[in-house]
Amino acid sequence: MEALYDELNAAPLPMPACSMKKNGYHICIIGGGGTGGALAYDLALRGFSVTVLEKGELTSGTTGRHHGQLHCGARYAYGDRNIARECFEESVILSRIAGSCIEYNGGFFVALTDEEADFEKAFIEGCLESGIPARKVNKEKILAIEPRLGPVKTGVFVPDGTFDAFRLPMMFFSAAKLLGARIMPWHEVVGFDIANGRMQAVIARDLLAGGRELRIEADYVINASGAWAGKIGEMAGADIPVTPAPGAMLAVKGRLVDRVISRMRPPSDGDILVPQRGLTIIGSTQRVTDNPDGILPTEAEIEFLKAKAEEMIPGFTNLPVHAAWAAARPLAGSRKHKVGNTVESAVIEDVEGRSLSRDFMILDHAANDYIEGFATILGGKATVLRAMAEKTANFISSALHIESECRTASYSLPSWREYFRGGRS
Amino acid sequence: MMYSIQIKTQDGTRQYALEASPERTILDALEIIRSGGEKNLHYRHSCHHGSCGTCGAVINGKPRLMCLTRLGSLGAGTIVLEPLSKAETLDGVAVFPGRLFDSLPNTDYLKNTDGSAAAIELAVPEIRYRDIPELGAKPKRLEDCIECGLCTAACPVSKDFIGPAACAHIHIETVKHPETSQTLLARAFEPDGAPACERAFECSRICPQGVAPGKHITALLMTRQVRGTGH
Ligand SMILES: Cc1cc2nc3c(=O)[nH]c(=O)nc-3n(C[C@H](O)[C@H](O)[C@H](O)COP(=O)(O)OP(=O)(O)OC[C@H]3O[C@@H](n4cnc5c(N)ncnc54)[C@H](O)[C@@H]3O)c2cc1C
Ligand code: SF4
Ligand code: SF4
Ligand code: FES
Repeated sequence: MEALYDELNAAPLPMPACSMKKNGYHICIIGGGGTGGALAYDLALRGFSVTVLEKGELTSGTTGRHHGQLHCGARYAYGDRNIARECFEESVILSRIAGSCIEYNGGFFVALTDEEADFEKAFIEGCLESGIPARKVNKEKILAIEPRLGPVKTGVFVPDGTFDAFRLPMMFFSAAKLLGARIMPWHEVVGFDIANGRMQAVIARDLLAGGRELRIEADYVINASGAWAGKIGEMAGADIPVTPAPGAMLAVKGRLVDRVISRMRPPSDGDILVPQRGLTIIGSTQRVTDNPDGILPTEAEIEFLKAKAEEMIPGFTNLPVHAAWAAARPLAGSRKHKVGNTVESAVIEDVEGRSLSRDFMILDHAANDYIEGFATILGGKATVLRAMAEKTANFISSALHIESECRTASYSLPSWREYFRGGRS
Repeated sequence: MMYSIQIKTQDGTRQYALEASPERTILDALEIIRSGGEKNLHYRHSCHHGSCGTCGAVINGKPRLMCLTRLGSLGAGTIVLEPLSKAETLDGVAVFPGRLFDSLPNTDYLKNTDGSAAAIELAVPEIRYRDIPELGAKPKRLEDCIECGLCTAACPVSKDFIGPAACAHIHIETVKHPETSQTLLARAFEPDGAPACERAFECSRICPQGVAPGKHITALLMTRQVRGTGH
């Protein structure tokens, strides 16, 4: 184990891990966000041949635009302890394998109203029952540590962190590339070749070559296109119940806090402050749209976020806006769909806005749409990208009736820079 | 407001027009144009708030981040976009930043934890705030440099040169970890290292993160001078 750990660390090539025994199967992943990157790495490490198709630059979808909160799970502990427990486990694993892009500084849940203060007991209970070491901290101490916070009544310390939303997924892409995965940004999927109830090939356009068409044959195709999943489904004639739901975020210049600050209440709009280098970010909001491309924040969202940040940090609104932007969540809806049965933590619920489960699911299109060799992975969070990849790779392995083992938790990831080194592949 | 944007590459120019608020950024404008159906418009982007370093372009003659440049900040007239120099142009303003990353050393001071309970406690200062005050007092922070390559693009040096960002990385590392950075320091003093700098300070003026690479290069060169007189 330890020896291999060093091997993956020992970039650049050649590294022994690269000559790993291939199992002869080729998997094509649609979507070059964190989910696609983590899955490419996991599969390559198991010996699969992997191709990733991404229509723009890697991480140009939702990944890269989010807050960069390394969720310890406290945010979800009151609602769903399994999700919370998984977040905590994954945040610890990431701190081990991707430490160079993580500011592991912790976070405070703060109560600003009596109602929030009353929630404290249930909140701490939820955390502890999920295995998250949450601790009550008195308000004097919180204000000594984060002096810019406003009228805090009480608060709880949790092991949250922040990470570079671009670098974390790029570390997975670097690892996948070093293991021989074919990563193809600027390639847009435009159709499928489905025959005899089986996925045969993906049709993509090379956007840098005037849209030249390519046919990529694969033993299994995974749709990891996030908020775009429904559009990909339409191309395949598969019904994927997802609505793109943009959320806005806003950053001001100045690192006003060093830890993630959350309101002590069930998740709601405008309730998180996240420091990123010299910036402070407030997020987020939620609405729905038809098209996840080119989404921008509205003026109303910007005003709302400022007002919410002002509640936590008096004076926030006086600071000039550094940037305001939006990212699309894939909102799932309840349908007839069966969930891939190897995925224990998968949930599909009747969902509306924020009551949506933040967990992830695998839609098996063999079971739902009579297309063998095709599945969609939906939902999750950037924090649990490795776990999503593990479950999806397990699912693919069982669909192809082969044995394979996930090892991504054991190895240190190479630098994000590695992906761009040594020329274009 | 109506804006007109021209994308200029070796292969010619493309012209776009759009209606947008002056508060929107160049990146927003490209997003509006592309989602409006312009399939041949390619550009790199990820964070949309100046954190990832992917969206650099030469805007009206100056290397800048498209996501932080507001349409209203550029005055009247056509906005001209060109790809960053010293990088491989893919199409339009989209580049492959291979040369930049080839030159950057892995000098990250944030490291992996060992994942143990003790590590979590140590990683999270306040939990042991009372016991280990210096940890509580000093939260971890990523370096300011977002590896956007604007400084490299702005640098007038045309001969072989690892560039301002790489020099800054090396200098910061030698300050933070003097004990382990001797090899790196030697790298900085090869002919294509700090000595190649012409001290124009364009890099410091252009850096969106206030890294001031020029200052780091001066400091690097000073260490050599100080050491040189000792021998
Ligand atoms: C507002 C907001 C805040 C968030 N904050 C956090 C946070 O603080 N912490 C956290 O852990 N998580 C957070 N998340 C969740 C996190 O951002 C997502 O879970 C994660 O980024 C999803 O990654 P993905 O790879 O599944 O999707 P994406 O990153 O969207 O990747 C899908 C990719 O598919 C590509 N694609 C689409 N169509 C095609 C096609 N036809 N051909 C080829 N490629 C195509 C897209 O270009 C895109 O790059 C947040 C989400 C939102 C919306
Ligand atoms: S100071 Fe040196 S590195 Fe910076 S722009 Fe000038 S010549 Fe280039
Ligand atoms: S030093 Fe500044 S301009 Fe140069 S790469 Fe880093 S952030 Fe960009
Ligand atoms: S898109 Fe990340 S810096 Fe501009």
